[in-house]
Amino acid sequence: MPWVPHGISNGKLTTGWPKKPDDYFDDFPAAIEVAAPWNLTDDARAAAWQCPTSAIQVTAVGISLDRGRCILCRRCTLIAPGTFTVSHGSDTSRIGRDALIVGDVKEEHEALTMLRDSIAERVRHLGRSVHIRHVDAGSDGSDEWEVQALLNPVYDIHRLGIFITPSPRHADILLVTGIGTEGMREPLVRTRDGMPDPVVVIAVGADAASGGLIGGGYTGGVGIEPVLDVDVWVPGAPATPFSILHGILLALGRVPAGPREEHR
Amino acid sequence: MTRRPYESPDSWHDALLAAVASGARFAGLYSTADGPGARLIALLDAGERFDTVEVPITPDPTGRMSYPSLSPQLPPAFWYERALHDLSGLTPVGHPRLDPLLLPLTPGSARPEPGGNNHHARIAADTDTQGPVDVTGHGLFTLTFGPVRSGVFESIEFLLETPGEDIPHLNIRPHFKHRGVAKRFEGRRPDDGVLVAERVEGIASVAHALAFSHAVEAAAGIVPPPRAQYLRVVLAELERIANHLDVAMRLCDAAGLAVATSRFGWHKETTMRIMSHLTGSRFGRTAVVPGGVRLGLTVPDEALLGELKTLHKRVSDDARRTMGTPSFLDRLRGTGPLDADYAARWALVGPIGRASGHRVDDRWDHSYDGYGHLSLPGSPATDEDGDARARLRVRWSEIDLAFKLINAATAAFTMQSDPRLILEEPWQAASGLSIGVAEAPQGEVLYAVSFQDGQIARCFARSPALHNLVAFHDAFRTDIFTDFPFIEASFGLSYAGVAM
Amino acid sequence: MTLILTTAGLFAAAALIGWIAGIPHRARRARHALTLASWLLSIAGTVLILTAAARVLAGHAAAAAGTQGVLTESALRVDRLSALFLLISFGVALPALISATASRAAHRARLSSGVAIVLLATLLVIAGGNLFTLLLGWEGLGFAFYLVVGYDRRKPGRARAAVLAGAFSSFSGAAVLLAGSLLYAYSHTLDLAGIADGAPRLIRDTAYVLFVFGFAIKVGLMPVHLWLPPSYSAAPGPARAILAGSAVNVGFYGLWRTLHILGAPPAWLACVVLIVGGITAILGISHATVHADLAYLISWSSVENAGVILAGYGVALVGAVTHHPQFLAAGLLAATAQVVAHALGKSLLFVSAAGIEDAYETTDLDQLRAVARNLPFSGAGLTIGALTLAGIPLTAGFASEWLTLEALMQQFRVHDLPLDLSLAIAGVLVALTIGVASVAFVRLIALTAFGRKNTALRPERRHYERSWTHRLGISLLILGCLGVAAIAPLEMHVIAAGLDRITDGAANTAVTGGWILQPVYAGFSALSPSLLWIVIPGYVLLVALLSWAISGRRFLKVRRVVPWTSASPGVAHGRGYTSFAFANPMRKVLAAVLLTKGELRREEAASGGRVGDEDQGPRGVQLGYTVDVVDVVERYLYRPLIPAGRRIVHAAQRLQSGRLDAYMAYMLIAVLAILAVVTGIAQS
Repeated sequence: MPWVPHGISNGKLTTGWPKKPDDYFDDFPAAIEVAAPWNLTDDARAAAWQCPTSAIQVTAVGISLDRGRCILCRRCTLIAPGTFTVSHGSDTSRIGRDALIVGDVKEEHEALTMLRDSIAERVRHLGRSVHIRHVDAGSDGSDEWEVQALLNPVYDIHRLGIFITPSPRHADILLVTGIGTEGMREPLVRTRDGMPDPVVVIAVGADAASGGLIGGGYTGGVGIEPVLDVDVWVPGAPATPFSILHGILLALGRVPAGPREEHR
Repeated sequence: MTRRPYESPDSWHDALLAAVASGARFAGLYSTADGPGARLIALLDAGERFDTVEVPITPDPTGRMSYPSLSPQLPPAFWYERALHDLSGLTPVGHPRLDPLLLPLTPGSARPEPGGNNHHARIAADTDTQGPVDVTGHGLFTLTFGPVRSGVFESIEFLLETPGEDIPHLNIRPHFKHRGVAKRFEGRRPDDGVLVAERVEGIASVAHALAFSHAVEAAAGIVPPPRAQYLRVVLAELERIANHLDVAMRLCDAAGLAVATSRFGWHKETTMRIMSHLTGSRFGRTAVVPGGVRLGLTVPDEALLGELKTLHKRVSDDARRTMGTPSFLDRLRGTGPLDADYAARWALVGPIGRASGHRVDDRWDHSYDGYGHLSLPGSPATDEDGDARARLRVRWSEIDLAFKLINAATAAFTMQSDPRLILEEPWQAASGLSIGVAEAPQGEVLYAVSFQDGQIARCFARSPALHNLVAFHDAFRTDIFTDFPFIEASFGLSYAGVAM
Repeated sequence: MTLILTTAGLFAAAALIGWIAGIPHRARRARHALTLASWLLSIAGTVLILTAAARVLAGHAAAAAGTQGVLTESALRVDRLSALFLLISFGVALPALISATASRAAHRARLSSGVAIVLLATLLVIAGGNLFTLLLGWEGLGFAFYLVVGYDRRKPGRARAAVLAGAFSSFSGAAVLLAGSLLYAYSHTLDLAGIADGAPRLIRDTAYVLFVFGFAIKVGLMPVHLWLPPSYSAAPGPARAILAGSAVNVGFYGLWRTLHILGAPPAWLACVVLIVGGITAILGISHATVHADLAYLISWSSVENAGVILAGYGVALVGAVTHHPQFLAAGLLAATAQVVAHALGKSLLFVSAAGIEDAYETTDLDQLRAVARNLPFSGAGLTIGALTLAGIPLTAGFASEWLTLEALMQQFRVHDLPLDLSLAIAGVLVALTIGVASVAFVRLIALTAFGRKNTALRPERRHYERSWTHRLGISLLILGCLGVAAIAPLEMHVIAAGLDRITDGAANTAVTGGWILQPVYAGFSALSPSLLWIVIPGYVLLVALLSWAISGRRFLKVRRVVPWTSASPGVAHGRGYTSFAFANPMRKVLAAVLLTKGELRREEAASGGRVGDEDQGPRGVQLGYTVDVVDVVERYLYRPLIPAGRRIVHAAQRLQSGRLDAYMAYMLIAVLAILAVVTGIAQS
């Protein structure tokens, strides 16, 4: 059988998300949740102490976890199962860096609203033709697989009018992975400069958000924020294709922003 | 493991060359800070075990540390000597080309000096320097291919010196995404170290975690429970399938076989979903830990084996179709050839080496975990052609074997009466140097880890990418621009593992 | 007509004054004045000829001039065909001459002299009413080519090029002389109008072949194109336009005249002309596409154009063979239109190249960058000239190439297998050529005219570019290239008038409805270049306006950034895509024609490579790389002939080994032979 009929022999493989719910989207253990932010147990303190990326903050009043630092090693869920739980669902991306911090946090409405409006203004004309330029600013290689996976028939972002473009000249969104090494600083700036305004910047993965476990050494690499103004943050180590897609659609205003947080 | 210390760099140099001449495989070279000086350590595969050939290097009155270069006689040392010059400041005297590889520094800058206690040293990198030009001739120019490349790629720069179309010469500059991984290991406990190891080459997380854990387990003198050993095989082979499918996908993409690209993308996604079903991570991260596997993993069951069976059938079917598509094979045949002699001289590992008849596979040579108890074929899949097609053929065979090994390992897993997945009794890694290996999809992963008081003092993560990518220089004979993606995909290396 | 004689006199005077100016030990100012006078005389003569030709074409009686004496018949006669070619040749010569006066080379004496001889010889050939004048002009032209090509004979390769030009000219002169003599033996008249009378079929056909061969050498048809690229390139900048744009047309004139006086050729000759034309076209454009030198690139495109024109001429021959006046007219009209476009485009390119070479002091394309930015006029000339030769709409080349293809497509009207096949082959090759031509000239426009600016040109290097005469010359030629397309119907009327004797007026139907061109046959296809001149700029304007309106003026807000090079910091002394490299894929694609060879080698220190530096080793050596292309014809046709040629020369040397008595004997034999011939002619 030639390739073309063979290609349709397995029927439709593509997910219905975001129009229809998808089990893999909903079930994936994409984040850690602070189930009891005010339950200051010794276990919780031990978990914070043992967290390899110091993502957990325990203050006098409460516990918070920075998903931008969390590398999903699950150590805290083993040490303090009552306080930290694995949270299922790939809708983990957020607008604004502070929105990645969960648990005992104060909400800053004003700045966030301004940022949201600014992004909405920038993506207003994009419609169903969105072009993404990806830059690896020092990843471990897995993030590229996950971005690339968006093109496979299961996710198939082309159906949503989203394309990955080789030239920054055609790009509307800059998608950055990796810890933001010293060496990638200039290339990253050159790529941003090579894009026509307006631009939305999405940081993908804990590496890009904070440097994760590897960043912070002598090559810098504490995330890409020192180089670029980031609009949307996608946590994860690495962020899964669904999380990345969620981040892209969040930037485009095509999915509601953080439903769980809204109702908390 | 045998440690062979030498007193003077010259005797070290000669002994090392003699060992390689008598059949030992050169597997890596690194240095570690040692008081005011440094210790230079070469890793050799001596068949049954790994040897380290070591020599202390003391600074001369001007503070310069040097040793006689290996590269003129031992080609595969070429990049290692450059890398350790960047990181530790050791100068190989007589090196053919001591350009920066991993870390271009501004003159006078301190160096990271892995193994040393200099965490606050000020490293001034000079990364945005212009690349070299080697070829002269009419109409020649340099096509800068990277670091931000067309499509979703890891950042690396290829400088193609070309008169248009032909690629007579190219330079590779991986330093853009140098993350300083070596220093990130130091001072960590083994259970944190394994997390760093997983990030050396993210697409081979399991293999790196295994190699690191093997080093830790050797240092601590512990053996993981049998069930953990079989589960490790399942995860490692799943990772192999995903990586090889990725190579197949990229090759098909380069050839414009849209349906095949989509199908292999789908199969890869399926494989990664199985991995995430088992471990909670699509890359099998945090699953392998020193002493066994993490608690809370899902154990393969009948349903999963059924799923794998379907996947195996689909992959085999599509592989057969692909290898029967003339327009595809035409692009691979004779593309990016590396002959057997070259592969042996450069001690190439993984599918690249095996496709050129260089038979190195740690699952056979230095059997670990469940592999020793499972019935492996007599020898790993090899090929003689040495071109992109041969590399793909080797990978198809390995995918086939991987499915069989997963079945066998799952069966063996369930037969074990010992229910433990991880050692419960406390252990500590003994101080000193320890070596661990694992066969990643890209080839041998080799960890040389020094422990001090149960913590990591120095960790040399020898990725297959660092070892093999240097051969990319010589893979272009009559090949032209449009062959580049094929050769690159057929190498299937992770550049994170090169830049470290 | 006295006008023609006067002009001939003017050219002769120009040549003489130019020669005098070149005598050493004269005051510089006087020399400059004399040189300028020589150029001005040539310009004046050119203007006079244009006037005369225009009058003839406008319908005034054919002009003839002759002197009583040995030559009883008209020595100089300008009929409509001659007038047409005079108009083309001297029409493009005029701006070329105007531009040349300002060039640095023009101040060097005697170039004007050589150019004046070229013009004089061109005039004699085209206006020659009898075989004697034609041959006189023809030999004069060969001599003048030798002089002009070898003008800078101390530069490498120039002397060889001059000898090649001279040698091939001699061959062509011999062929024409032989053909004329054969016909004369039967008609006993030197007058071209009646020279073919009474000759039997075989003699006519032989003469036909010899004429075509002889004239084809001048236009550079394969395989006798060998001399053309090196000779054109060797000539000094300003003179190239005269040789390649103006003087080359005498070759086409000769072919047209042959068709006029001899009528139908043997059928096989038509086939050969078609196929050889097609092959010449593809060979020429292949080399033009990949050549690394501007002058050679333009010269090779002359070979290509010779092929395309000869394909059109071949169609006309087929029309003559099959006695289809319309078919003949379609072919000849297309070929003449292509002659016009080629003359304009080629002159413009070479005039521009002269300005460029003057400023950059090189014609190596890899070193020519951002020409349009540094030299706006020469750059514009290069661009428009390239567009014309690539046959892009809004230039003269578009209509002519369209007509050529249309003429070749009339193949279905011929019912003869060999002719059919030849037409089909020529059609395919010409179509392929036109496609490749766009690649060739894209390179010229994109990289040479508009490439990234990497060298700043010192102001004094722009002296030639800044002179008003150069600007006038280029402007006139640009106007010609674009204007001819805008008034294409008028051009067709003029050409039809020039060809009416050969085509029996059939060419008049090429224009229909006042605006529209058709390949002579009605109802096949139609094109209006004049309408395109309204429509295309209109659309561009419309799109620009729409974009501006829709974008809300953001259209004009531009943020400039560096070109995208994969975000790389670049390499030391980095440069973008070289012209050479851009052409390299074509070297690969056309490897069968070009015999591309590439090799990686360690260069010796002499050729720029460095080996064995202190810290360099096996992996650090400086490498050298070359890619070579070969002219197949030169390699496989001429090179094997060289040993044989050497042997003949050796044998000939023995005949004249410096013995005075032998010389005396040869001269005696020669005088006797001449006497015998003269007596024979007088008695008959």
